[in-house]
Amino acid sequence: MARMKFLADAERCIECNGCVTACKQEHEIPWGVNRRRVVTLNDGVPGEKSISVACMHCSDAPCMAVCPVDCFYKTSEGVVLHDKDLCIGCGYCFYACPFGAPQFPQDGAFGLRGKMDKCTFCAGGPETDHSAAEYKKYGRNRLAEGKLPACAEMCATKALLGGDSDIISDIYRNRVLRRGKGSEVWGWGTAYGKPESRPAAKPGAKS
Amino acid sequence: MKRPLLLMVAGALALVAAGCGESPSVTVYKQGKYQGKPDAEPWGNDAFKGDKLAWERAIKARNERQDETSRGTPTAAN
Repeated sequence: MARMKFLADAERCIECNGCVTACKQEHEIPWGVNRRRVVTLNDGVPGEKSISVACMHCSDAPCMAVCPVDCFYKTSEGVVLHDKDLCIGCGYCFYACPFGAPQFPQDGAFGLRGKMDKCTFCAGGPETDHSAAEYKKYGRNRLAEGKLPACAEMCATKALLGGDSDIISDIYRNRVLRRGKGSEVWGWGTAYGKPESRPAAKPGAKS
Repeated sequence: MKRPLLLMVAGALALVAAGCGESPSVTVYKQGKYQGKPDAEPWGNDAFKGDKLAWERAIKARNERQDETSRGTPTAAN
């Protein structure tokens, strides 16, 4: 089994936030914590691009390197996880992460910073699989159910792919070869079809 | 007369050579060792009962279902 990865296709993302909602619902994420979010570049300008961002489960994860209590570990599938029982909420991982993945719940009168929370690739944590403790701390463990992350499986346009990096790379490669890269990707021609390029219907043939 | 000159030349050479001894200024992080609880493999639970191949088949099927171009053409395998 190769490494588990996410792949976000900016050409397909329609900024519906379905992935964000799926993640929130699946793991009952508290208010103020966003394990996944959609970032839009040139918002409102024709040709704007949106991309769904969460923990990218880096092969050489900087969060793991800077953690002073070494609470991070990587599973055999390449998923970067952490032990919340060890986390001291220092926030070093937040500064190290290039994607802004680590989240810190704030609670109480003084906005006390809690233990770090991040995308688990729906793989739970170091608690017993499918236990109440695992669900409470890390959310649902879909990987142990033979399923992929809820965000990727929920994505309506399949802009967000998640899973075995070799397979999702192949899917994306084939997709790019089919759709091209120029003016045919978006615009009037794509939205309303290209009648001039359709083959002429044969007389008597079913439409 | 010659000795101070020699000393000066030697000092200048040492200064020039010191410029070659530049050390890298990019921080190299060293990975720590995980200190927490061990995690079980995703196939080591009641659902798969330790059958890694069954888990891999399940994940592969889910992976391939993300490709809409192959989803519409069922084969003998799926």
